Amino acid sequence: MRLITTVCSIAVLLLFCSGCWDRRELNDLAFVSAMGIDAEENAGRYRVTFQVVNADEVAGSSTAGGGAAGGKSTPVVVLDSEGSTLFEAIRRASRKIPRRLYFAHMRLVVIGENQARRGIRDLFDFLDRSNEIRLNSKMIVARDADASTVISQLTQIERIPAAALVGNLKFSSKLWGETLDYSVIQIINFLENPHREPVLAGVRVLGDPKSGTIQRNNFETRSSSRLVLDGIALFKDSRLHEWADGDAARGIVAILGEIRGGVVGLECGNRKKADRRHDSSFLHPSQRPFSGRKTGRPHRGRTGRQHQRIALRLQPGPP
Amino acid sequence: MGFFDFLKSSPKPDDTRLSTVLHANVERIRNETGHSPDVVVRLFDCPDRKLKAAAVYVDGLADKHMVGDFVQWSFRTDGVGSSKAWFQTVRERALSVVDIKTVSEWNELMLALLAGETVLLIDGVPEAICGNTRGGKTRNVEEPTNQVATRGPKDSFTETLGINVSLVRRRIKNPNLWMEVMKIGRTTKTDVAMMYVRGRADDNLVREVKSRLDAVRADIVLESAYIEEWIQDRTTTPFPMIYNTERPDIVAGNLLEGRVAILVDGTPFALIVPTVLPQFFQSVEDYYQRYDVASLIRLLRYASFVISMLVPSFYIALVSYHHEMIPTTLLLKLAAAREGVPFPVFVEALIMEICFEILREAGLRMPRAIGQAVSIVGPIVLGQAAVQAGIVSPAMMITVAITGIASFSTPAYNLALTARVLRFGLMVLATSFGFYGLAMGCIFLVAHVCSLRSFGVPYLSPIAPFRRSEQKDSVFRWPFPLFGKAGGSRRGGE
Repeated sequence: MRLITTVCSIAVLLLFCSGCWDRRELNDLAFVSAMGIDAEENAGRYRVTFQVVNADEVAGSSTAGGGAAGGKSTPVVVLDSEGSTLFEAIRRASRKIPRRLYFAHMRLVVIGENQARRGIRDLFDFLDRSNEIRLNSKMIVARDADASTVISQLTQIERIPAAALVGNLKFSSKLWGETLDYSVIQIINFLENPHREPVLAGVRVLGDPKSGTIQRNNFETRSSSRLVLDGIALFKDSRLHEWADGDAARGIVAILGEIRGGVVGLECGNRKKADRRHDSSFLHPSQRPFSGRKTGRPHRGRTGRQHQRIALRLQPGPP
Repeated sequence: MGFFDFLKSSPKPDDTRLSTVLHANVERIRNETGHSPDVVVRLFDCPDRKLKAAAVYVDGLADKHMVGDFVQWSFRTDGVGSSKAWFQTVRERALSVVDIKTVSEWNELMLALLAGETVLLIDGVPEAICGNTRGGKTRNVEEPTNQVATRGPKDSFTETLGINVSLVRRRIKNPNLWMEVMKIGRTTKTDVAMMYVRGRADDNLVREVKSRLDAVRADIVLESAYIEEWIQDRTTTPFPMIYNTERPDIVAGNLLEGRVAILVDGTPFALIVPTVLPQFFQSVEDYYQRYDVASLIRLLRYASFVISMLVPSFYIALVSYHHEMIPTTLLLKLAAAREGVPFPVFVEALIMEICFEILREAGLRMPRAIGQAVSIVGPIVLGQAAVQAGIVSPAMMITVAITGIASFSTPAYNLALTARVLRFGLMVLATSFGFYGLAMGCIFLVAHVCSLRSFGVPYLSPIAPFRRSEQKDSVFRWPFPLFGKAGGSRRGGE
C-alpha cells in the first residue's frame, strides 16, 4: 500500500516536472513572416534575411492600448545575419533584435539565385528539423537578385510582403498556370525522390529595388518597384540549372500535373490561332490533365533528348 | 458531553408531564419562555363554576381570529360537573378548529405552542387541548425570482412548508403522492417533509433518504442547505451534489420521474435527490417549448458551461504557449493588443477575473438603491478605461466578458459557481503547462465527476454509464409522445 502511494505520488509529481519551460509571452516574440537565404561570398556560409512583422503597425487599431498608431513605421522590419548554418545565423540575429525570432508563422522562404545555384539540399536539414518552421511555408527563388532584396521590398494591398507573395503564388498558379505554388514539404519530397528534381517558382524585382524598401513608395498608385513572379527555376542535382519562361514554364507545370487554369490560344473557324487576349478557352480546375500524362510514354528521341507527349483536355472555365 | 447535557437539561421524570394545577402549568410556560411578551396567556373562569381555565398562544404565529373562535366556542358549555368532564366536553365541542389534539407531555405542548397552536388548559386536568390555529403573516406565493421561465407556471415556493406541500400536491392529484414529515434540528425543531410518488420512486431510495434524514444531527436548520450538506454523498467535491429548486413544477416533474423531494420549512428552496449532472442543464422551459428548440438550447447550455469554465485558461494557454495554433492574422491582432500591457497574460487574466467576481458579488449584495452606481462604474471604469489605459488588452476583456455571460446562462446557480471556482484552477494549470495542463485538468475533472454518486446513482448517468433507454431526456429532449410510459427518463435509484 505504501509502495503504491509512493509510486502514485511520484507519477503525479512527474506530470508537473515539465514546468513552464517553453512559456513565451506574446510581447517577447518577433514574428518572422519570411526568411531569405543567400550564399555568402566565402563558400559555405549563409546570409539569412528575416522579414519580421511589426505587429503593432499591421494590426494595432486606434483603440488598442499602447504603441504607435498605424502609418508611422513600416509594417515589417528586415534584418540579416550570417553563419555557417541557418541555425547559427538565426541565433546570431538575436544581437540585432530585442525579441526572440519566432518562425511558426513564417509563410515564405526565399532562396537567392546564387544560393540556388550553389545548391539547396543542405537548407532543408534545418527547415525540416526545426520545430517551429512550418512545412507548408511556400518556397520561391529570387531571380537575378538576392533573397534579401526580395525580402526587403514593401508591397501594396497586402501590408506584409510575405503574404503578398504567397497570394501571388496562389492565384497566379491557379489562374495563369506559369508558376508553381510549392511549399517546403513538397520540395523535400522532390529531393528525396531519386526520379525527380525540384522545381520552384521565381520572383523578380521590377523597378528600383532600393525605393521598394521605403514606405513612402507605397503612397503611389504605381509603385516604382514591384515583385513579379517570373518563370520557373529548374534544378539539377539540387542546384539551379536554368530558368523556364512562358510556354515552357506552363509546359512544366502541365507535366507536373499542377496546372489548374490558364489561357491558351486556339484556332477557331477561319481565324488563325487567336490572339491570347481574345481567346478564352480555360483549363478548368477540376480537369487536371492527369490523363494527358498517361497517354504518352517518355521516349528518347533522335536528338537524345527525352520526349513526352502530353494531352491536355481543355475545358472552358470561368473567365 | 451530550450525555451530561441530557442530565442537566432534562427535568425529573414527573416533570415531563403536565401538572394538575393550572397555575403551576401557566407559570411553567411563562418561565420556560422567559416571560416573553409574545406568549399570550389568558386566564379565565368558567361562568357558573369555580373552575379555572387558560388559553395560551404565541402572538404572530397563531391566527388571532381562529384563536378567538376556538376559545369562545370551546367554553360555551353548561351544566358539566367535574373538571375532567368539562375537559371532555370542551374537547368534543371544539369544532371551530378541525385539527385538535390532546397532549400531556411538556415537550409536545411546547412544540405545539411554538408552532402556532393554541393551548387550552383546565385546572385539575393534567392534559391540554391543542387547536391548530397556525396562521399569522406568511409571504404570498409569488413569481420565481431565480429560475425564471418565459412560459410555464408562475408560482414559486414560499417559506411556509404547508403552502409548499400544497403547491406540489395541486399538481399531482394522486393518492400515491406520499409525504413524511420529521423534525430536524435540536434547537430549531424545523419541519422537514420528504415527498415521493409511491410506485415511481424506488423503495430502496426512499428508505435511504429517510435513513439519511434521520441521521442528521444538526443543531440548527435554517435553510435546506443545512440539510443538504448532511445528506449528500460526498462533500469533498466542487460539484453540487443535490439539486435545489424554488419551482413547484420542477419538484412535481422530478417526483414523477421517481425522485424524492425534501422540503424544509422556512425556505422556498426544495431539495431533489438523487441528483445527476445533466439535471443542472435542464430548464423547466425545455418542457414548455418545442422539443427541437429546447434540445438545441440545452446543447447551448452544455457549451456555455464548458465555455465559462475553460475560455480564460484556453486563452492563456494559447497566448503563452501555443502561438503556432492561432491563425496568423489573429495572432498579430493579439500581439498588437498585448503590446504595452505591463503584465504577463496570467496576471492580466487574474486581475480581470477577480475584478469581475468583485463586480458580480457587489451587484448581488448591495442595497438595490445604489445598484446603478456599480453598473456605471463596472463597465466604464473597469472595461473601457482599463483597456484605453493599456493596462489590460481588449482581447482579455472579451475573454472575461464571454466567460461571465456564459456562466450566467447556466440555469443552475450552484453549478455556475462550480465553473467559477474551477476556472481559476484551470487558469493556473494553463499558465504552467499550456494545453498539456489543461488536458490534465480536464481529464482529472472527468474522472472525478465519473467517481461521484448521488444516493447510489452515478452522477453522470445516463451518459456514463450510458443507458440508451434514458437518452430521451438527457442531452436532447425528445417529443413527449416518444417519452414512453414513465413520462420521464431517469428512474432514481435503479
